Amino acid sequence: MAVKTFTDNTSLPASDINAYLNNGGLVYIKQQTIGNAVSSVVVTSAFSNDYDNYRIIISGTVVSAATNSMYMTINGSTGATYAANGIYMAPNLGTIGALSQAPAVTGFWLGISGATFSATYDVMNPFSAKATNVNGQSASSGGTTYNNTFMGGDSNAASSTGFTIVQQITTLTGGIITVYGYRKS
Amino acid sequence: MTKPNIQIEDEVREMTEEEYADYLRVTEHAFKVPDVVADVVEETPVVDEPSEGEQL
Repeated sequence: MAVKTFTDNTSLPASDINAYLNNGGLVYIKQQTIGNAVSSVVVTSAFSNDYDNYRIIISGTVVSAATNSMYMTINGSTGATYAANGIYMAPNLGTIGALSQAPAVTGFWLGISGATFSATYDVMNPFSAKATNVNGQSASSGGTTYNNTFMGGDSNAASSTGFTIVQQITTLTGGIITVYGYRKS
Repeated sequence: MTKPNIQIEDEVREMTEEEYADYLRVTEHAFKVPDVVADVVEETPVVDEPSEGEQL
């Protein structure tokens, strides 16, 4: 859609307002505050036929102990059909670590956590009857800190309407999960 | 045995047996930082050994 230039003191047709509302980029879907000392957070009614692709932001959750992995599962796929690659870096080291997980895992890897952890990533086709892909980054601060980039796929083409954040061994407290949809047209 | 907590929307409670089995299924293959990296992060001080003939 071409970008229209509006001028002062002229009428604003409803068609223009609707066109811009309908053709925005990211559209807010829902937000969920993480509770106290939880190892799994279930987010329901996140994915629908309204959007094919989604942006998820996990903002500032506090992890009870560092150096454990966070995963995301989608509710339509509970088998070991996920696969992942990732890179993890520690600010106090000049080295880069690599992760590879062939289809034997049951979730998308979202990185190794530090004391406070945030992630932003895209999820492609979780609701559509297609394989689902994820890619993004995560960062942490405090304690033994790791920063990560990750990408992966789930070959299961089943439709999912929600997802679960799973923290390995440790717990999460606070922070916010926000879900946006990429408007299709 | 106390199980980890699960949050569903705004409700926080202990996992059921089924939910705990799902949690273990996801985390059993979870990636851990290799020990070699963790060892480097946890720096240990180096103490010089006295050389042969050196008086303590």
